[in-house]
Amino acid sequence: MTQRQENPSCSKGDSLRSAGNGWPDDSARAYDASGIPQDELGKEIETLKALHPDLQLEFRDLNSLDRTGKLLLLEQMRDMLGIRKPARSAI
Amino acid sequence: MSLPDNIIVTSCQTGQRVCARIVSLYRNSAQKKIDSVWWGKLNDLTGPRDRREPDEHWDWATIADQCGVHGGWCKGAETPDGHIQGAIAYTANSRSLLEPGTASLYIAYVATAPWNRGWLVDRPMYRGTGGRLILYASLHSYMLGLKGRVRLSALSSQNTIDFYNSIGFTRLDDNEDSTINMELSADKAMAWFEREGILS
Repeated sequence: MTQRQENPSCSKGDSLRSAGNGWPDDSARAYDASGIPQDELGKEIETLKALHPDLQLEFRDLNSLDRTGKLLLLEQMRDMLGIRKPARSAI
Repeated sequence: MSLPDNIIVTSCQTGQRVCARIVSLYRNSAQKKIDSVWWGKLNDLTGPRDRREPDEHWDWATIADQCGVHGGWCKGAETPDGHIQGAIAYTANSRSLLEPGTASLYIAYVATAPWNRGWLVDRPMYRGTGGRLILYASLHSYMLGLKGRVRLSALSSQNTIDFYNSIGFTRLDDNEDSTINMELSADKAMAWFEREGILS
């Protein structure tokens, strides 16, 4: 909890949470813009792969993996990067 | 385990902690659950207002759509009553300004529902939504191997700057449009996670 959130009152001006300068100039990597929701697991894996090109991965075709396969792959990638797991399902 | 499914917000009426489900927003759901609801509901609560909020013109349907183009995520925090209490849109392919040579997550848009803003309504419904969404984004940054680094361009009001400073953001340079570049460093993000006891 932040100090702000430990305060039980809801004072005026306590919840200003706006940021908004639009998208950064350096975020122009192309993705499917068809409006069709992307497979979130696949997207997570592709993003990790793009951010860490030095990761040595053995899979070739992401589409050949089912959900369990993708979860395992994601876990493997995170293990390789030394990423710890969240301790709970709500923050 | 992947990212948490829920954030915890506090009801201003009862003081109780309420789980708000993190939902992915796409064009249709953003239009239906935010654009069609937020400002209309506020106007029902307050009647005519003297001035518009800086984010009142934001079109979350388009923002959600653009998330696809920019390889980003658009997420909302949905309380059990079905209302979105806050929303955030971010990408993972930006550069850190504090730690050159490293990547950072970039929050392009974040806002709480107008009925949660104490300066707009006498009795806000929930508090803590914006901070929890930023924590969620920082945790996503960590899970992507970006060590929790988060950048954003903050609106220039002192309240906003103070809020981000209280979380641990560092103020960087000003943009031409009078927004201010701010960044949560990896160290500050990890300190936040430690305080929250988030990581196993």
